[in-house]
Amino acid sequence: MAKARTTKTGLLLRLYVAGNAPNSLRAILNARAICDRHFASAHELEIVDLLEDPRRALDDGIIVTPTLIKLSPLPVQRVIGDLSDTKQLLLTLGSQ
Amino acid sequence: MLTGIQGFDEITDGGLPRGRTTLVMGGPGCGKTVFALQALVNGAHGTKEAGVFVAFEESTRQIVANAATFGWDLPALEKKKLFFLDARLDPEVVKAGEFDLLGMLNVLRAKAEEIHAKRIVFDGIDVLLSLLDNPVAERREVYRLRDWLAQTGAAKKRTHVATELKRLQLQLAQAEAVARLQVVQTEMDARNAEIAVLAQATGSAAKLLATDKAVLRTMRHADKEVHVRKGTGASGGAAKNGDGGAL
Repeated sequence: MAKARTTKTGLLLRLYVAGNAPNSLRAILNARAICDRHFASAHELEIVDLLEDPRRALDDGIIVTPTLIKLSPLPVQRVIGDLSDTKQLLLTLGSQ
Repeated sequence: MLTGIQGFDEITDGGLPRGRTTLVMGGPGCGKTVFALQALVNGAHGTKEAGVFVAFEESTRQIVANAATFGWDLPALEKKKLFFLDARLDPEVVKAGEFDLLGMLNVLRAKAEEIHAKRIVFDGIDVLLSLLDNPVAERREVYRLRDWLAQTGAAKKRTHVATELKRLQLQLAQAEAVARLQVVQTEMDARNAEIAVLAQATGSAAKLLATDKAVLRTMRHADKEVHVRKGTGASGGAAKNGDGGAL
C-alpha cells in the first residue's frame, strides 16, 4: 500500500535488457546511478531480462535493447539505448 | 522451398533455398513486400508452414489491408499460421545511447518457436538499422543478424526472406541468395514487375541462374499482370549491373 503511494508521485521505470549484453549491462548501471542521484527519494526501477521473459517483451512491443519505459509520471515514454546520454535521459524523465 | 509463385519457382528451379536467407532487392514500389508476403501466405495455405512477418516499415494493419486487395485473408490465417510482428520504433522514442537488436531477435525467436514457424520475412529492416546512426554499430548489428539467420535457419530448417531498399546497408555478402525485382514499363503502361533472379550463392561460388531474357511465364496478381523473366543477359552482364559484385 505504502509502495503504491510512493510510485504514484515518484518515478516508475521498467528497463528491458538482453542478458549480459554490453549495452544492457551499461544501461542497468546508468539507470541505477541516475535514479540514485536524481530521484533518490521516490523511484522504482524494475529490470526485466527479455531472455527470460520474451513473452512480456512481446506484449510491451520491445524491438531493441535496452529499452527503458517511464510508466509514471505520465505521459508514458520510451527511451532506447544504454542511457549513457544522461542529459537526454534527464530531460525525458523530467528532473529538476 | 517453393514460394507458390509459379513463375518464380520455375526460373529458380524450386524456389528459395530452404534453411537459408534470401535477400529481395529492388526500388520502391517494385513489389518486394508483396513478393515476400505471398511466399508466406502460400506457405501457410499450401504446405501448411507457419510463418512470421516482421514489419519494420509499414504497420501490420496496413499490410493486412494491402493483402486484402489481393484476396488474401490474413486475419483468418493469422489465427494459426501467420504472425505479424510490428517492429517499427515509435517516432516519439528518445534515443539515449547505443542499442542493439537483441530485443527483436529474442522476441522473434520465442514467437517463431511457439508457432513452429518455417518461414520468416524481415520487411524493410534497413529502416531500423539506419536508426543506429553509427556505421560501427550498424555493421555489428548486421553481423549479429546474419549469424542469427544462419544459426536458426540451419537448426530449424527455417527459410528467411529479407527485403530492403538501400542495398548498401545489408550487403549481398550477408545473404545466401538474392532475388532482384525491377519495375519495367510496357507499351500497355501497366505496372509490370520484372523479376530478375540474379544469383544464388552456394558456398563461395556464385552460380548464375539467369541467362536469357525470355519471358517465362505470366503470373496474375489480382488485376495486375506480372511478368517473370529470366535475368538480364549473361553472367558478366548481370554482375555489371551493380549487384552481383558482393557475391
